[in-house]
Amino acid sequence: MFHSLRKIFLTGKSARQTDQLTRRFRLTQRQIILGVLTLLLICGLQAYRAEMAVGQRATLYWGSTGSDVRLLQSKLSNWGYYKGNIDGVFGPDTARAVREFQRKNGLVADGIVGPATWAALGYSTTSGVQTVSVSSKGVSQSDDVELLARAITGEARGESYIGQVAVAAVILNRVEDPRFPNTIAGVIYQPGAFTAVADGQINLQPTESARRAAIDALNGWDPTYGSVYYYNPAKATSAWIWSRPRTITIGRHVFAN
Amino acid sequence: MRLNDLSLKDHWLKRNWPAFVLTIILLGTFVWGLTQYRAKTQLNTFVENSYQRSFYEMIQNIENVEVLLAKGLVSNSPRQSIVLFSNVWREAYSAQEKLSQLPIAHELIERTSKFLNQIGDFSFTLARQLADKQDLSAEQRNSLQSLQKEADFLSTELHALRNSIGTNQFAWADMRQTGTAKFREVAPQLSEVSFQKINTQIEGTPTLIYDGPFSDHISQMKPLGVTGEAISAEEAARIAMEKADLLPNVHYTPTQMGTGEGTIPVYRIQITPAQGQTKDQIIMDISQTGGHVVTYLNSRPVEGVSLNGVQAQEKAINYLKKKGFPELKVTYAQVDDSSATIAFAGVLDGVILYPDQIKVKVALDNGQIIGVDALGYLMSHHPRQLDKPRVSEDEVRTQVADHLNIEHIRQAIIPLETRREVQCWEVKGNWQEEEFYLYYNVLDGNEEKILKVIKTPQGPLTV
Repeated sequence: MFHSLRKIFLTGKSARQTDQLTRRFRLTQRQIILGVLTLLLICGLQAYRAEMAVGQRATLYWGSTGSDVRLLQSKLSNWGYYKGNIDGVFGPDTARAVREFQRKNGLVADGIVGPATWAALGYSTTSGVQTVSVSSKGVSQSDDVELLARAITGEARGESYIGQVAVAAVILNRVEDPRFPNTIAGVIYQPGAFTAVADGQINLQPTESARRAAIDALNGWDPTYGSVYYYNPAKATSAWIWSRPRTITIGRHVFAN
Repeated sequence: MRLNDLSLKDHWLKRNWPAFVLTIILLGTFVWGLTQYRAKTQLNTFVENSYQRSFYEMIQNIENVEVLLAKGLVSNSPRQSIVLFSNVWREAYSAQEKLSQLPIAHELIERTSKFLNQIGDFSFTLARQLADKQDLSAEQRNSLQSLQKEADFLSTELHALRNSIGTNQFAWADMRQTGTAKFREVAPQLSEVSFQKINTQIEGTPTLIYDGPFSDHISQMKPLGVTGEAISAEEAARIAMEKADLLPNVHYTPTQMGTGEGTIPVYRIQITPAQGQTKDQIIMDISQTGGHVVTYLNSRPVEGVSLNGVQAQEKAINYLKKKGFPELKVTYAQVDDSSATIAFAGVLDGVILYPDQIKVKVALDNGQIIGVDALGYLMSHHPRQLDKPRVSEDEVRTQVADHLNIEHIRQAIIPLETRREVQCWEVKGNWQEEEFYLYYNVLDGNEEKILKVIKTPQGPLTV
């Protein structure tokens, strides 16, 4: 390859001698061009597929059927808007429930479940992952849940459920501890505190289990018994962290005080 | 051959087009690289600027803390002191916030951070005390004086650091990339020269105990409710099997997963069901002393909803009764998509003991108990002496703001932020469709705490 490339720039002078080589090279260059084009095509296709993969939850209206309708009905039924059967058919009762829900949530009460209504129901239309988004007069726990769930997803999505609750508990223990910042966001975004923040994994969509773990931790469950540090013994290089008194080991993480 | 040669020459460009394409690509790459480099430099400057801003603001805050503390020590007027100490509180918290935004290794700043938090917290406690018309004690004045000296030391050191940063072309942004050559060059300036020194200096200050959430007594708290004899791991496993809410007709096996050495030393027991029978994943922590259930979590997925909040509450009450937990009263319930969390509190002669709290989580599909959190109960349960109220229920009723609709009044012991317990009249009321809990000290009628009920999307917090 390098050899033939050198030839390109010499062709003017050495064409005669290397006619044969050049011809062989022509084949190679055609292959290169073809290769580059194919690569571009693949990249484009991948980007397009990624775009499509995020997809959208279907817009539902009177007459719609299917699993999305069932999801809508069970959600509305849980919250007391819908009294009928969860049959996956968008009929008059469902429409009435949707309109009532929209009115209560400050949406246009048109009985059509579009992106805004899905979002208010707690389903993000762009990812299919559940988000909590309703609040009571400006105060809500859902920001904390969201932020914690993202931290858990970034830091410990490979861990067991209790390992995920533990990571959230450490963050909350830090908020209470005078050696650390006094807010959840302050603790999570403290420079150098979490690798998932440094490498941007915190911006991933939180998983459902991370969300449940965040709620449990906010409700007071603390499987780490007041720990404010954790590290992976296979990866931790700082001698300092090893000197902290250990409290418990959960999965790959050692928790310490 | 000659002809061929000529035609080749004619088509020199045609034959060498790949060389041109490559040159253009090369040029393109160069231009792209240049714009990328400039974008990176801009971003770096932006980040560096915000670090510098935090640093300078922090120095300013700490200088203010020092000056305000000195003024507070000189002042003899409570009215003036309240303002001064409130400002110390604000400046110290702000300094701590700025400090934690700088890219410095945590171990270098943890003492400084704690120092700032405690100064703020302590000053706030003093301001509150002065508002209660109580003068500062000699001991508090001494503490203030030593804190003021430390603050003075801190700001002197930070000035030195600021000067060294100015002369040495130090960039905070370089601190982010540990391990790089640049980092090895700039790190010592910070760690050895300044923050290390500050750290060791502040390490020498005596522990500060006062009535605030960051007081040193909080981290030294011992569990009061963990009583009994030391037990073995085998006993712990037996207790775990007994206390867990297991499905009938399923074979479960307990395994010891290790021990925990935190606030309450525990054995961690995992309970695994026989393959394929249920998705239960149970972990239960049993205290090494007395064999109490501390934490219990069953993290199986919950599919579908067949119970409502009231039924879930019934299940939780039955579970506690059946498994021999102490007698408790339901205080509130939080229901979400798949589970209900019911909080219980102890009762003594009709007085609710909020610190003695146990939470029970119920799965809404089959009513199985999937979580217990008894840490609160075990940390604070102890024999208590109730005070005889000096302020009557009727007096409290007149004390409450007129626009609040009172729903009920009862007695309760509540934990303050400082973990200090106070016996109060609990007034539940509503105002503008929002629910509130107000707490009045039974001895002097002081309003100790106000809670607002927040309706969450998972369903309201109910009582």
